[in-house]
Amino acid sequence: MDDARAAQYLARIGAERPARPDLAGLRRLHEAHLLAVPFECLSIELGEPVSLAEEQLLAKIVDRRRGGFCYEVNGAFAALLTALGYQVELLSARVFFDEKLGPPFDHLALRVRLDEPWLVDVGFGRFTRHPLRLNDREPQADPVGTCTISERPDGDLDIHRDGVLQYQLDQRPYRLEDFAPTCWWQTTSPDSTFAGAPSCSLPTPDGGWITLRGTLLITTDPAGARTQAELTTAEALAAYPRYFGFTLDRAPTGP
Amino acid sequence: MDATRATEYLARIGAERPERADLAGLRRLQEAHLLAVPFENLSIHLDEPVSLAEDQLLAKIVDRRRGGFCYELNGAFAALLTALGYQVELLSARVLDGAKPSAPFDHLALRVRLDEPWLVDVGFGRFARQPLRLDDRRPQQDPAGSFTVSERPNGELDVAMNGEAQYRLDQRPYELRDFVPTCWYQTTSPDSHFTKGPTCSLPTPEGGRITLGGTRLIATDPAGTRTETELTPAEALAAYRQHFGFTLDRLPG
Repeated sequence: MDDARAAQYLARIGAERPARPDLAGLRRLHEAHLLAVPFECLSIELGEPVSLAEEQLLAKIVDRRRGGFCYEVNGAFAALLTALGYQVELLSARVFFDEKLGPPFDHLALRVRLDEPWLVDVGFGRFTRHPLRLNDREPQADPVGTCTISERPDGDLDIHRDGVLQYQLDQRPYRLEDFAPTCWWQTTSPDSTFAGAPSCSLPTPDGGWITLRGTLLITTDPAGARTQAELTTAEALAAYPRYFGFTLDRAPTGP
Repeated sequence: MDATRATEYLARIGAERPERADLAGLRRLQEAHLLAVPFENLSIHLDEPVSLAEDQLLAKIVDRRRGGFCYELNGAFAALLTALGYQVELLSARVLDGAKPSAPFDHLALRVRLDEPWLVDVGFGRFARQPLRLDDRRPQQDPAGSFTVSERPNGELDVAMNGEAQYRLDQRPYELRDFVPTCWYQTTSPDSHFTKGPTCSLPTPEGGRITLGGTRLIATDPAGTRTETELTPAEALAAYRQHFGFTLDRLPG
């Protein structure tokens, strides 16, 4: 990514370029990314190909102001951080969902090396607002909850939020293309959790959450209270620019 | 796999049940499997779903006398070896045939633990006829060529045949279900080389190989001389029965 592209990316997330690649800058970028770039899997339902090539990721997230799912959002953020001078590695994780662990490469998270390694994740939907210390085994408080990281006998790291296992992280770094087969599976297999469930969500600055699932709009306030509204297709189409900042030609409505 | 199913599997590959789960038995089983069960990707081109569930694997390979690709062949063989008392683990590998290593889980190979760990692979097409010592860094002679296993600084093992890199093994064991996403990718993505065209291949006992790629029959003799014949569709359909031992209703593709 060249400087001009990095500047456009920073403008997209409303963040200033950090003077140095330090922790303060990383925290600001992490939060800005989370608040600006939705976690969404609409491409699947819209029949758009999902590409992990850097130019395609930037075209989608920066130019078209869309979001993406983990491979796209963390893949693009990794490219930005690298362009800004950070040392970034891509980690594979198994997601704990429905009482079981998914396969390796089910999730992509980032490790950023400063004085110590940090877990950076802007592509897991509801996750921490700030980077987490990967080598710290004490509970870490974040605006969205308390996280703990524990090491398993096989070297993987268990990431818990508020006592619930979120995912299991392989500490060995991978290339973005190593995620391509599982990304393809997530976008095309009927066994994928993303299949037939178009969803788009974004945290609100005050600590709440807004999610559009098909035509169901779910608002969660900072205290965790949920309000649901069933929208018409036209209302759902209008909700994308209103809440998420991008326009679609047609609304992904789900099954 | 119960004892009846294991007996049927052994009959399928024409092997006797080893008295003990030892190296001699493993060598016989591997060779028998390689010579009896073709490496083939025909399901992709016949619109058959590829399943890694054990009963589906056995239905295809044992009952329908078909073959499969790495996940299916090594997945099924792992189940047989386990049923016979071997200690088997599934390893993920990146294939090293291009400019860059392919993705993890691109290949599935087996590690069988006896006095030492052995690499067992009946699902890579042209590869070793016999198990290879995983902990031995010297060249290992096999009917298919000279093999070396070398360790990389990060612990991965590079396997080479006649000086050519074949694949890179992650030594950490996985479960068969961990290979499902990449198996799906291999069977459905236009970027997978398995979706490009049908192929079916089997080594011959004397050291040659016979491959049917679409309607092109390629016979390689033990000295490496290739003879290619373009078949009619009817001849190709008959060739599956004649050379590979199973019957198809229609030509894949």
